Amino acid sequence: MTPENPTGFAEVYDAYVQKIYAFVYYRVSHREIAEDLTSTTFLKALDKFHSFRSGNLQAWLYRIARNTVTDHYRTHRPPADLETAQDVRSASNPANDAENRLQLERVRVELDKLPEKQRDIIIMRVWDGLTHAEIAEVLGKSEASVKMQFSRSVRALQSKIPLAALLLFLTFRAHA
Amino acid sequence: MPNHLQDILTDLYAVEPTLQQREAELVPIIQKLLAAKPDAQVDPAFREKLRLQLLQKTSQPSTVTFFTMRKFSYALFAVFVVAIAGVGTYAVLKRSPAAPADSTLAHVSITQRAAAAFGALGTGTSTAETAKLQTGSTTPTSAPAADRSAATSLIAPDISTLYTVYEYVYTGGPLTMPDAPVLKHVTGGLVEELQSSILGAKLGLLDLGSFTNLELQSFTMSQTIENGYAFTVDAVNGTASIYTSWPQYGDITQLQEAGQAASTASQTLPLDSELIAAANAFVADHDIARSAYGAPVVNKTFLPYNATSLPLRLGYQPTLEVVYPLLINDRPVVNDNGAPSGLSVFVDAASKKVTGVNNLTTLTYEASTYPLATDTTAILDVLRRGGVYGNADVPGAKKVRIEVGAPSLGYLSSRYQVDQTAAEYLVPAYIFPITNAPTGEPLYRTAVVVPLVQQVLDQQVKARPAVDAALPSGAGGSEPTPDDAQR
Repeated sequence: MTPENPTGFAEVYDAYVQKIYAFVYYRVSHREIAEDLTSTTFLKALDKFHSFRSGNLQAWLYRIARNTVTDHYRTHRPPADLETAQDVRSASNPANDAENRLQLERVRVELDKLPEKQRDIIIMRVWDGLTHAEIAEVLGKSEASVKMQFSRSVRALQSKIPLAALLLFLTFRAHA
Repeated sequence: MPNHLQDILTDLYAVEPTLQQREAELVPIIQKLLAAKPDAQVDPAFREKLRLQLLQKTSQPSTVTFFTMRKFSYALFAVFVVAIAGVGTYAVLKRSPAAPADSTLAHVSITQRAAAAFGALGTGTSTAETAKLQTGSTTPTSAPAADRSAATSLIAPDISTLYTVYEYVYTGGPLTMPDAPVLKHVTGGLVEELQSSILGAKLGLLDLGSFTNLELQSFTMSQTIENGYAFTVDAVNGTASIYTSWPQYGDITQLQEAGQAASTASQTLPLDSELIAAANAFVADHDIARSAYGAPVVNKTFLPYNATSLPLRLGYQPTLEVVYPLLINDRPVVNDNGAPSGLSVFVDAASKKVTGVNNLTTLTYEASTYPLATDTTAILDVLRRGGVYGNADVPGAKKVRIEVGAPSLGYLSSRYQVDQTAAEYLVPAYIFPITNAPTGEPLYRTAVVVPLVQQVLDQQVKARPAVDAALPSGAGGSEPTPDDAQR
C-alpha cells in the first residue's frame, strides 16, 4: 500500500474506519452525526490521498477527522448534549446509566472550560488512546509540549471534578 | 478484567501519582465504569456503505466531494439516467449539457484487496448451474444436450447409443501459467445521491423522509409513444436494461399477426454487418457508454455451427444478440459456454430494429489473488470434457473429436454465493478456440473456457462423478476413472 497507488485507499479505509469513527463519535456523542462526519473524513482523505507523501498515516487521518469535527461545530449547533449519548450506554442498568450521564455531564462542562487545544489533547490521549507522539503529530506540536499540557489539563480537571466523575471520564475509553 | 483494571490504574498513576494513595476507592469505581463501557463500534452496514461509496468515487476522475454531490444530486440524476439508459427520458428530464457521452460510471475501476478476500469460491450457484436447474434435464434428442451431460432424468436404459460426447483435444503448445486476480463486481451505491434527493422530497401526498432506512432499489420509465422503449434501473445490482414497451391490450391481435408473419418470413439469417450496424446506431443515438467494450460480435451460440438460417419459431419475432465484449485490461470476459460476455443489444432479425439492451452495468471491481491451478493435466482434462459443466464420460457413447488451439487468457463470468450474498465474480480462465469443428454435428460453441482458480477448477473436476453416478446401473454406467479411484 502506497499513497501513489490509489487502490491502496481501500486498505487504509479498512484499517482505520473503526478508529476514525470512534474518534469522531467521542466528540459528537451522536451516532448519525458521527457517521456523517466519518464519511466526510474519508472522502476528504481520498481526495488528498495522492498528495500524502510520508509521515504517520494515522496522524494524518486523525488530523482530517479533527478538522472535520471542528468544521461541523462551526456550522452546526453546539455539541450534542449528553442525553443523546444515552444510546451508547449499557441498557442493562438504567440506574447506572442515569448516574453516569449526570457525571459525564459534569465532566463535559468542565472539559468545555478548558482551552480547545488542551481539551483535544485530553480526549486524544484518554479516549482515542493515541500516544503523546501521535498527538504531537496531529496537532503539529512537540511531544514534550503535549505531555506537559496533558498533565496540566488533568490536574485542572481533578481540582474541579469529583473523583468518580473524573474516573468515569478517564476510563471512558476502549479497554477492550 | 483484572488486566484492564491494572492498565487503567497504571495510566492514571502515570498522569497523577497522588491517585495511588486512593487505590482502594479507585478499584470498585473503575470496575463499575468498565462494565458500563460505551459502544463506539462502527455499524457494519454503515461501514460497508461508505466503503462502496469510496470505491465508486475512486472510479471517477473528478474529485467532487460528498456534500457537493448532494447539492447537485438532481443534476446527477439526469446525468445518470442519460448515461446509463439514454432513452425515453426527454419528457421528464433535460439532457445535461455536462453529461459525458461515456459516463465515468462505465469505466473499469479495480481496487486491490487482500489475498482470498472474497472467501471460498466455486461452491455457489453459477449462471450455468442456475440455467441447468431451471430448465431441467434435456432429452437425448435435443441437439444442445449433446454438449452437456444430462443423463439424470433419462428413462431409456441404453443411453449410450443416444449420446454424442464431444472430446476437446488440445493441439497447441505448452501452456504457460498466468498470474491474474479474481475480480468481484461491486454493485449498488449507484443512486445514493438520487435516493437522498427523492427521500428528501415531499410528494404532496406524504413525506418520504419521515420513513427511516428507505432504499431506492429500482425504478422503471417508459416512453409514452407507439413502439417506444422502457427501461429499468436496478440500483441494488447496479444495472439497467432497455426493452420494447408492450403494446396496449387492444393491439394484441396486431402483435400476434406480426409475430406469425415474421416467424415464417424471416428465417433468413441476417448478415452480421446488418445487425451490428443497427446495434451501433442505437448505441450511438442514445449515448450508451461502450468504451470499456470491444468490437461487437453476433452471438450465434443458439444456432448450430455454420448455420445459414434461423430456426422456425412460431408466435414471436426472432431476435439476435449483438454483444460488445467486456474487456478487463484488454482481456475478454466470457460466459461458461466460451461466448463473449458484455453489453448485449438485441436486434429484430426482420426489421433490424433494436428491441432491447441488457447488461448495462457499472464496472467497479475489487481484485483479490487466489491460488491458480498449476497442474496442466487437470486443466486439459477439464478442457477435454468441454470446460465448465462439461460432458460426463459416458462409456459406449459416440465420441466426436474436436480440436482446440492455444488459449488466450480471459475472465469467466460466474455468480457465486459467498456468505449468503450472491455476486458476480470474474475468474481468470483460459479460452481455448475451436480450430477444427466437425461437419454435420450440432456444435453450439466456438470456444471452451476453463477456469484457472484452483478451487473453482476443483469444483469442475468433482462435478463429474456426481453426474456419472446418476446413470442407471447396468445401462452404460461409467467405469471409475483413475481420478475417481483416488477420491
